[in-house]
Amino acid sequence: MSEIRPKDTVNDDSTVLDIQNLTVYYELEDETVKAVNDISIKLGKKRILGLVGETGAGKTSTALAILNLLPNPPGVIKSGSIHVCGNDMLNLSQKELEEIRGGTVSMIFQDPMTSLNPVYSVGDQIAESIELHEKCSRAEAWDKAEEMLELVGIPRERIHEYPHQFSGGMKQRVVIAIALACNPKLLLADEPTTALDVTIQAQVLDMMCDLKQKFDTAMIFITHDLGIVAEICDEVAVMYAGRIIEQGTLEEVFNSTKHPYTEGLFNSLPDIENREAELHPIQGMMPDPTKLPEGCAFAPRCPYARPECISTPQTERSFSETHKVLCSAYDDPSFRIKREER
Amino acid sequence: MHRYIIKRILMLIPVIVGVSLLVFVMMDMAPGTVVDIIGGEMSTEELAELNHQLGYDRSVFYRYFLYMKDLLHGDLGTSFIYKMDVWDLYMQRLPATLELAGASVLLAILLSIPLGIKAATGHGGLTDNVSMVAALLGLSMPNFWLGMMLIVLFSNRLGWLPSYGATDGIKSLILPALTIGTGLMATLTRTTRSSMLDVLRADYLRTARSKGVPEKKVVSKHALKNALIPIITIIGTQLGNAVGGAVVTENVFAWPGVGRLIIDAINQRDTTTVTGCIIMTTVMICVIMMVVDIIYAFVDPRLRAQYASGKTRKRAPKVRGGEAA
Amino acid sequence: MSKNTESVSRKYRKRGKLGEIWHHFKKNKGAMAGLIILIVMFAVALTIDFWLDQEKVIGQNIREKLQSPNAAHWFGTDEMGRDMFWRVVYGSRYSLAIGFVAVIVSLIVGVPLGAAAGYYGGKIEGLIMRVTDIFSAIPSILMGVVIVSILGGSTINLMIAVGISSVPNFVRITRAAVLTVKNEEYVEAARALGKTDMYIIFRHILPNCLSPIIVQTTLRVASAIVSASSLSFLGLGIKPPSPEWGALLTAGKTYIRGYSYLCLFPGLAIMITVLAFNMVGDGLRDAMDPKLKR
Repeated sequence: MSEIRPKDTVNDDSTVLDIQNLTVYYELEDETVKAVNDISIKLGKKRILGLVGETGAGKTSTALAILNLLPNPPGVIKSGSIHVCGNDMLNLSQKELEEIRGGTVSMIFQDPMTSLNPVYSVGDQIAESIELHEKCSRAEAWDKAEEMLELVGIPRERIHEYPHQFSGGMKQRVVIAIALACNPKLLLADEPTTALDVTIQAQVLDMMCDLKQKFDTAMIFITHDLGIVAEICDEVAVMYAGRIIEQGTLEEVFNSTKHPYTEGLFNSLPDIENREAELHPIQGMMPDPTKLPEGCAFAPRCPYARPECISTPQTERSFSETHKVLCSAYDDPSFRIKREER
Repeated sequence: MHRYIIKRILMLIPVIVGVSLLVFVMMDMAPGTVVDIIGGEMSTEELAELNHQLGYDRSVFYRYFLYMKDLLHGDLGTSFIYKMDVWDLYMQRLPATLELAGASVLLAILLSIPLGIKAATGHGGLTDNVSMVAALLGLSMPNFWLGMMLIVLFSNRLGWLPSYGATDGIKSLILPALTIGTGLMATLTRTTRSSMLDVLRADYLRTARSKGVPEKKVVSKHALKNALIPIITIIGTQLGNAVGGAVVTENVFAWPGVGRLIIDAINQRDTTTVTGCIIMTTVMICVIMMVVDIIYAFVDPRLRAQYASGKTRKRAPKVRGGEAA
Repeated sequence: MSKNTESVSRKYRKRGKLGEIWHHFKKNKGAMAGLIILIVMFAVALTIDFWLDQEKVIGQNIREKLQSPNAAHWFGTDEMGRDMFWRVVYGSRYSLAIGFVAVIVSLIVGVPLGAAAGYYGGKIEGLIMRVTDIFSAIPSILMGVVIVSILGGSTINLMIAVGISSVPNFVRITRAAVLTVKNEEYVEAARALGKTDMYIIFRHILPNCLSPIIVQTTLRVASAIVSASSLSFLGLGIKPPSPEWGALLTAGKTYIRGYSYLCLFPGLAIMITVLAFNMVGDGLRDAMDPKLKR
């Protein structure tokens, strides 16, 4: 892991995405699921942020909130603000939102099997987006759709075929073609490769990286696969129980890990060079998101936890301009996690 | 596609044979035969001769065979009450029945589909609750009673519309169409709503929204087409029911259609007419259901592929493998 | 020992499931209203002979004929001066009996056929389903008309006619339900243990197919009541002066111009009964399959 080198650290000033103190709840009949709790993310042009965490950590909710597409009810944005290229996503009219969705920001969903409409041809579904946002004729939109299809590696003759005629990997390519059809400034990729076979995964990832280069798109890449993060991301944010517990540049998070949970994630990875080594999975389970503790939600599973961790709210601690950690153990100046001692 | 349609038409034949056999055999068991009616003053020899001619000295299947042979030439036998060909009699009454069925199904489609969509998109809201209560009431009302109450209100009390017959053009059509239409509307609204509710949760609608498709179009284009299969099925079934099952309503309004003919014929023990009309009605229903099946293929490309693969088996596993990957 | 724990756990699960269904069901106001209506109707229909003087139902009193609803005769009186309220109340016996017996007839015929079709598949399934197709191609009201015209219009024949015309529904529903559980592991296990098909079908498969069948039964009782009264109305079922609701409507039809209340109340009675069954059926469906709710 230590051979990670810093990727291009050119910091572009123009901010594509600015999330401030976002909180998302799902208000059900008899309980409230606190899915996202007070998170802030800033992302510059052409940067790729890896959003990492276990299932249920609030990654997808964050992405849907950016598009203001949370299923409502029960999903509610309790507080916070989201700006995409200067547009205040939470205070736009429906019409303005529709212009931005698919145009400025677009999203690739997790499951390609269900995210394409089965009764329309793939061409129709790609061209629809183009027609909506580029104000062009139907024929032009279809021409562009053909190009997009070819760009993601599907022969253009297949444009009139329907989703059921494609394999899973092909479907995901179509989904990506839809998402990229209008050159979005920001792409939200929600585990775009999780549902695919490993070999297809690599192809799709390569393709996404190429396309990112081509279109200059900033990207939030949601995944729980640290390997993928190391490969393609510039920045990393680690989510746990709705909070970002550590964020920073790829190098910072990978090479000078600060949070015990992040450390736990690395320890859960098998080490190919040392096959004799024992795996160290994180013990226990994520807390019930309807009953989050006052203090650190990871404390019950944390090997370094002290009694006050559970009871007192944590404060954010900056280790550099970009590297921020949410862990009160660092109140003790001598505290180090094991990974750093190595 | 053409192949599928031809295949589907061929599949119709055994059903029609089965249905006609069933109806024929059952009606054959009804007490009394034609011979009893026309042979009142015949001698024993003449009776035996007539029985032989009509096949009553042979098995019921033989008589069915004779019947079907005539049916293929458009001959359903002769009604001894109406003194005319049953085929002609049926064809004479069919337009009125079709008119009524068409009007009520059209009424249901125009009102129920928008209402069902509105109820589903505003799930749990006022429109949803009101329309579901109304649909439940409509579903629970016996047709003939509703018809009678409409007559009491609109012809007896208000005098706006005629209470029976089909002589007053569109005015005479309104009450019977409303009577049949109410039940259809209730069912169709419920079906549209539940089918839309299923579809509205689908991931691909989220994809459409994330592309910036306006909400109206998400519902009318992306959701509706997927919800259409159950809706079309119900419309087909209902058209079939309205063609064949309007018996009661036609009797309430003295509507000169096939249903009324059947009941009149039953009451007069005119077995030939009853058999002929029921067979023809059932054939009509089978044809309607076949058309529905074919319409499916235009709505859903997966069914189109399945239909096509029914003939060319080679491609089928490939498609299925793609689904599973 | 293991058998013991198995039966204990099964008992718990069963109680738990029923409790769960009841928990969902009682939250549904419409369904509860329907259930209460039905309980009252059943109580009345079952006990009416013990507390109601027959004379009130069939006793004629020409001097009081064709009275509009009033304090003495809540639903008015008919052309023979009989009290319509008691006639309508007494009529519930016919409708409930016909509805239930008819559906029992279709259950007895339809469920085993559907189970056999689903369980055995192949030729047996093909045969059963083709015959079902043929039966269901004939509109149920016409089927009723045909059967009644063969058998004649008595109460029993009406029950059979209505029952047979809803057999195809039960065949389809049962088959579909059996197909979904047939390949479950507990069925495979029973088969591996060498149990007979009959045992497997009745002991393992059908108990797990109950929910759709129960829901369908409730809804079918409702439609059986309508079908039976329709046939009576057409003059093919129970004839006036029996106080069956369809027959009451047939009798009232003659006087509909001047005395529409004669038709109003029997029809309302049918509607309320059917509504109650429909509400209970909808409630059961939602309670048994929480997936479908939301």
